[in-house]
Amino acid sequence: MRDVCHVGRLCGLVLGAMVALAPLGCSSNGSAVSGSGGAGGTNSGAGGAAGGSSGLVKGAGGAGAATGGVTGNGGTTSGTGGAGGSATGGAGGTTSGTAGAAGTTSSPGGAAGTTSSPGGAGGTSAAGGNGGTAGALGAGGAAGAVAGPPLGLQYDGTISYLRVRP
Amino acid sequence: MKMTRMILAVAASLGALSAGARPATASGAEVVEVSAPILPRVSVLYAAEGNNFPASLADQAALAHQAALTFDFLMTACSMNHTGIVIPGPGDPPTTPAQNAANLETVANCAYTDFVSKPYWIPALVDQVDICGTELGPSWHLITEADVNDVTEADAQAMAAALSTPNSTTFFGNFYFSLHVWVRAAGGSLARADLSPGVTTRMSALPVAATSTTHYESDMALRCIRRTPVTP
Repeated sequence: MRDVCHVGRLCGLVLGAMVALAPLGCSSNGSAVSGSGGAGGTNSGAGGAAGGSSGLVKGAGGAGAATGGVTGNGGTTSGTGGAGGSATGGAGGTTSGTAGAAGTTSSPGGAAGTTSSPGGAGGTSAAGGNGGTAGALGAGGAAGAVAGPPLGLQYDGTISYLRVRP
Repeated sequence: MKMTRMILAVAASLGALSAGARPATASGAEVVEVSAPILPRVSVLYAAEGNNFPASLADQAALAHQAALTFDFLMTACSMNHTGIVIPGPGDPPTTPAQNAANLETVANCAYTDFVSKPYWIPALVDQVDICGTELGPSWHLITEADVNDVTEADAQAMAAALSTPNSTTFFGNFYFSLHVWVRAAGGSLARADLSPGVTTRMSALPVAATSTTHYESDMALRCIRRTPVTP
């Protein structure tokens, strides 16, 4: 009940934040229930997608890849951005959010939820799971386990890049 | 309470609507690897063209294998006479972008000066022999029309950026830095594709017959591709 009341007090902020973030795509791909977004892989892995979109506050972004990751975005309310790879740190929440730390090399980290749920943990060089969409805690997507190469031109002349399907 | 539920429902709806306009899920991601060109050693290839072109598929495969120079082979071979090639061993730190660029440029230079390789494959050989699978492994294949159709502008820019090494324009650019490639078209025939940024029509017909047993001089690189889904 306390959570519901909390949601009630925050609803205006939640709506506003969601509308504001919609064009940015910071909180997309939540699952039916709230859950954890995926953390990035250890090597060139993509982090999890969005965490929960509504409900509790302080959603955590998915952790980025150990190498070459881009961090996830924080929640709209008090969210914490995911830890990223070497490239770019993730954006924090729109309200009291903490930006994710930059990582060490190149894949995208998981995006945090718009409001509460934490981003899920990802696998090695794989995409993390999607976050939930509402309220209560839920399981995030399972971590991937597909090993992937670093991105860009490799020492053996191979060109590697990560493509995210629409 | 009712009001709270209504607001939550609206919020959920807004979230669902806005999600459609957002970037894709990470679960739909894939890692795309485009190999360095496999160039033939022309001293081997030219001697077996035309009337000397092997009749059997087995002999054609043997010819392709004998002529094919992979980047891996060249890295090792060229490192004996050229400086600047870094081949990381087990436990070594990842190579830097500068080292990767130096590798590409040095091998590109060595492939021509030391092995007389040019991208002048015999079309019939490319058509009949699975050069990618044979030389790089079964997870690799000759770029297909479907692969080409999936190339986004961002992908093309990523490839072009990767090939924009400091001296790319002076190291036989048409040989190792070309994004004009041999392609297997949807109908099964050989074709040509341009993977460069800004290109609207990437596929085009092969200017010569795929049955030709004479080497074809062009800037088309025989690159292979491997696509690995990134699964959550």
